[in-house]
Amino acid sequence: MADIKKILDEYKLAWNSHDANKIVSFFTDDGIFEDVAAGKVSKGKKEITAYLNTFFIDFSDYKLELKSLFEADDWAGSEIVSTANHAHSSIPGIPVTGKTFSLRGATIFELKKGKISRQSDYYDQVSFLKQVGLMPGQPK
Amino acid sequence: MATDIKKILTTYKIACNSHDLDKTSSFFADDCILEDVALGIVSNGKEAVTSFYIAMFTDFPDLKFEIKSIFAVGDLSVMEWVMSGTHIHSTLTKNSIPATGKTFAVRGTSVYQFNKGKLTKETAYYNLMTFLQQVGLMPGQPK
Repeated sequence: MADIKKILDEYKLAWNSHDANKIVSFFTDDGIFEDVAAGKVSKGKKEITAYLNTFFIDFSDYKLELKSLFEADDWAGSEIVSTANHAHSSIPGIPVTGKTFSLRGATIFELKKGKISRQSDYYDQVSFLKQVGLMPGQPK
Repeated sequence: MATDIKKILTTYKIACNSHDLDKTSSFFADDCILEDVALGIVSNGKEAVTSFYIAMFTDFPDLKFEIKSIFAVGDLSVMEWVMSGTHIHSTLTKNSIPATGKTFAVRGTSVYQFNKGKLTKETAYYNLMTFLQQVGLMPGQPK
């Protein structure tokens, strides 16, 4: 069995160095990256790379923290905190506020022979919108 | 051990789906903590967690959880689920999210911690915005 903890530690480093090519190298050729909250599914290395390139433009100081990590056979789950400044917006209708957010979420990984065949990210967009000042109310 | 936790969680969700409060609360340890991250609600202790479910079963009389994936390691488990129902009352958020009578289905993930077969902690992650869009309280196409 592949050492999932080690793989995901290196994977986290790739995210924190904003290295799209490196991140994509952790996926299987037909790997799926799913941003559940945004309803965005990227299939295969080309689509995932495109997603990441946009992501790192919008959140140019993005930082990923793994708060917990659970692994069993070819599954892993992690509670995460994503922190960034909303410096740019590639999403129509979401204006840039230049504000910083820190968002809790959970990520599911399915692996095949040490490669990620599916990643699904769960988080709350209301909390994001409140933190960057696009929705009234106290962020949770 | 891992198999047991999966089995317990599956039975727990069946109890939730039948809205059987006694059966549901029998899974909670006395010091059980349930955190709904999106709503920012932390229920501390078996009584508080039970109250949370009383509110959920009242607000969504047809509340249902569907297990999409589940894996367990030791006393820990992670589950992807779909929560669905009709928003009839608003006791949980005391009308800060008003009931519209509309139905919703939201995907989420929970991390569960067990001790001696009882649930000590559940942390639930989902997108509140999807819920708000589906019940018509926020503009935009729900995902």
